[in-house]
Amino acid sequence: MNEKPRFSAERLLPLYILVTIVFGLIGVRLFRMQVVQAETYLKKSDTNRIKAVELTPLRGLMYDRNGELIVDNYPSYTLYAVPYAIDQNPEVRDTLLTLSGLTNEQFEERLRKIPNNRYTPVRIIRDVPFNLYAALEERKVYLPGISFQIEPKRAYHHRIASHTLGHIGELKERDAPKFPDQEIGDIVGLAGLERTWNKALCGEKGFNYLEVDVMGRVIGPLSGIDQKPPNPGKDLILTIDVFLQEYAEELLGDGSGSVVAIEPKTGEVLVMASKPDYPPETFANVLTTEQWRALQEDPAKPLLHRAIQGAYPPGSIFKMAVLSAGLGSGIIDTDFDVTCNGGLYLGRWFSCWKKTGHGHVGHKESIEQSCDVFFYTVGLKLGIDRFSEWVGKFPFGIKTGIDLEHESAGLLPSRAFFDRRYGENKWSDGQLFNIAIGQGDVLVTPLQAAVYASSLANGGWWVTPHLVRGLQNPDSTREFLDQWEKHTVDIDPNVISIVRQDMLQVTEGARGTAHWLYDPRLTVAGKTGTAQNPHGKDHALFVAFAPFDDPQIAVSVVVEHGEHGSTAAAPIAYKIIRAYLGYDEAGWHKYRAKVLAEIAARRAEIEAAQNAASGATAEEEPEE
Amino acid sequence: MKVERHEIEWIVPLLTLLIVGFGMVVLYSASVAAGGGFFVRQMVFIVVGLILGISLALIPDRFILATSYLVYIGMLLLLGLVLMIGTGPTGRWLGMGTFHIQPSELAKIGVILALARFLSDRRTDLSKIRYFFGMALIAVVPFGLILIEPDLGTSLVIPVITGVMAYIAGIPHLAVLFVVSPVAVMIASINPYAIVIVIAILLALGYFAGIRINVAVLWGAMMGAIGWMTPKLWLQLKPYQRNRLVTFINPEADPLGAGYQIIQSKVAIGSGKFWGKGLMEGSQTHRGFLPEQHTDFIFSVLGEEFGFIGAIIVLVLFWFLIVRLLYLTKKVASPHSKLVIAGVAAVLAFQVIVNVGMTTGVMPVTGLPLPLLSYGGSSLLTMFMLIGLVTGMASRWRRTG
Repeated sequence: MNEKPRFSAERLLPLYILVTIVFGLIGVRLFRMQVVQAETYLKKSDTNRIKAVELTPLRGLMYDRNGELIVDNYPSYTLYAVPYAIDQNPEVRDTLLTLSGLTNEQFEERLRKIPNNRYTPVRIIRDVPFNLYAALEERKVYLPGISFQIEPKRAYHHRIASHTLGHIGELKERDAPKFPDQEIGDIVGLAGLERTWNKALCGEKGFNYLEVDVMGRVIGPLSGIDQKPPNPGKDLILTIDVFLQEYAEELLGDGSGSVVAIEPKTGEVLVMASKPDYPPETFANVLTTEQWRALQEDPAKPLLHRAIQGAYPPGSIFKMAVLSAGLGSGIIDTDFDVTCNGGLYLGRWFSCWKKTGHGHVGHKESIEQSCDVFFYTVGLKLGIDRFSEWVGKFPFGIKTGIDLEHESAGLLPSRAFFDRRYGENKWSDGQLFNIAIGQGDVLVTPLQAAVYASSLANGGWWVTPHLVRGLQNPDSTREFLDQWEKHTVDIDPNVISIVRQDMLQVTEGARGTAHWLYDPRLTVAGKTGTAQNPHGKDHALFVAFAPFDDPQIAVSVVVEHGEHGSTAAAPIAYKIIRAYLGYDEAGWHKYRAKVLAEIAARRAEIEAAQNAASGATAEEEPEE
Repeated sequence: MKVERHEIEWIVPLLTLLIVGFGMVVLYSASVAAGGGFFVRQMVFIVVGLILGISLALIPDRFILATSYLVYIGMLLLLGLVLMIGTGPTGRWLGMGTFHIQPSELAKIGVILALARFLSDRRTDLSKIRYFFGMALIAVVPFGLILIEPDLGTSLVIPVITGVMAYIAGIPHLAVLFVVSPVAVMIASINPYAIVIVIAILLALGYFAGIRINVAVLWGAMMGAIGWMTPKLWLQLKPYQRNRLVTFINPEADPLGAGYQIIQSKVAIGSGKFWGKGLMEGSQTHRGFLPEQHTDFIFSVLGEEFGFIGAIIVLVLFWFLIVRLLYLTKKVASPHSKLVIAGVAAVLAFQVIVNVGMTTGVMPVTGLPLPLLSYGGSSLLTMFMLIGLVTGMASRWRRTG
């Protein structure tokens, strides 16, 4: 073993032999297959009739919190044709053109889309009308090369909450990394709840082994081989109350704005309305470039989900947070008061919204009458660092974590922000004054405002808001979800309790900004707000919760260009609270009946399409 | 060493281009059947591959030698990265916009270069255990990284490259026997008599390789233990795990899963008969029966549309290319070049045999592409770079006589 046979040529010989033998064996194998047994294989190829076909599972439905069906499925038919079969049978083309109304040019263009393709079925018509489908199915025997594929589509029993529900569509290559379990071309949730809950909704694909003829037409299922049935998706049980949602959308009307209502103890979102919106079916069909551009460039911004993406200066609704910060940090105590002469001079005149002044203002009056001078003073005492620290204990400047994509975090300014925005030492207490009354740089989404109201309702904590209560399995068993986190507002509960009490004055106090809405049956704690809007009329805001002693609902309302929170936003919140808490039960009953009557025709139409489809698939089953 | 001179190696690139040319005709048909677009993209890859290959052929040997470990470490980093942020249907790609690379393909270059540098080092002596482990370490790291992607097929290329290169570098026959023996015993453990026979043959070969008696006893006992344990471990596996292994080794045991592909591929090749059905005339290819016709099962399209004659022509071209490479390992002067060329020959031979074996139903479905024919940028560029590298090396410092 002392001689080293490094790189000796004789080591090559075994390699030559090995490679030659293995390649020889492959050659022998090919000879056996392609010469000796060729006839057998050719026969198999000629009669090849097994084709594995993917079975798309039914997508889960969406129900509201009381079991009212919102989002349903209905089948849509896509017509395919095999070019080879069409060329061999000219009469097929004639029949198809007569029945469908396509011109020969249109048909040819679609049929020859893939150059040199002869045998692969090509998509000719999407979403075939049912009568055309029935007419073609009747003549199936005379139409070799024509086949249908069923693609599930969404049908909306209640045409509400388009932004929140979202839409489904074909998975494109660029989105594929976001859907690791799905293949390109699958139907997946692309936005809204359809996107976030896609995994639960979409179920699992199945396979069917079908017998096909030489033209690629399906003859029927292959007997003797088990098929793998698809696993239907799970239904979502939403936290939304569909009637309340519809009511809120109606109240917003043709204007733009948003209503969010939350059950404070659970974080369940009862209403999430955003106006203007678009019909929920908009993205179900392929949009033309012009349609798409029209939606995107519409100055009213119908595609913006204002409830989670619209960031507004909160105006005076911000004042409970500032008061809590002042009391909580100990900068002021409950005896602290100011005298409002209609403004405050600090380098320049900062006016109160009430030019004649509020006179003597303590913490109670500051919320009741929304005195700006009080908050200028508190803001100044806090200073920017304490301000952002203590106000930041409420859900501002962070995403609430709701189960929707593209939520805005709003903006809670800090020293670092001001330095970045205006340059170091280039900003003054004026900026602080502005944000102390909820104007200027601070931005809040309607959802954050509702969560903020919830945290006050609960006395200092809130649960991550969410839109799904639970999942319903195909066998109708339900799983309720309780994975949502409880967050604590790290401020002395006694402080929160004082601030809550002050909020009640807004509606119950004689000089409260929303006192004109006072309803002796209700104890509503609220706050009006007006967001300065440099581009037009000011936005109106209102946050509230009720009943005061055991809050069942927290609401935020934003009416863009509504000018005054008290007159434009607060009445909507009151109507929602009254409806939810069961006042005027008869009227609410009538409203529900009216909504159900309106959707009856649509519901019947959807069911007819579903029944027709299940009848049609039943026919295809073999007769034995 | 005798006179050294330069002589341009033209046979290797010529054979490569012949194979690629024939491949593109087949890919055209497969591309149409798969929905179009692949042919044009492959064309782009070929142009890029030619540029890369020619550039690599022009790089001096000493520069390649100097950067070998650097390239290897770069490849390891890419393999690590793909484990963390891999995309694509199987998570094996690294994406940069619309452009994706498959680092497991590129890793072959790194492994070949690093092993060639290590094994050609004058100090390296494979009969010493520490050098043996040094070599094993170079191979095991990328092997493991690719295996856990998971991509069993591609990971197996690494031990094959290592084995062939170590063999060329003069690893003692005994070491080869030691490494091969556990695998051989495991396979033989299906039958108790087979175990005995295999162990006996291995011991006899060991005797001829000059094994010491105490080592032989220990080795025999270890092989016996492996042979005895394997069936026990097999029964320990859960039924579904056993089923998965069985279908891996014999796909036709599962006629609707992995077997469906193999059956359809065999029908495609067999029905091509001697002369083939003709370009664009393959019913298996064009009626959607053949899976992955443009990537892993491109050979089935070749077999269906060009028949026995077409399949044999491509096989002979491959055989000729591999044999030519093996011959060049003798012709080039530097040990480093010899080893690189041997590594490239190993990659080519292994992938052709495993892929064609798969499409003809005699080997497991591993998902290894057919070099130079299957659609896929990473695979094609890797082959072009390797071919460029060896062409350059073979054209310099050639030994005469």
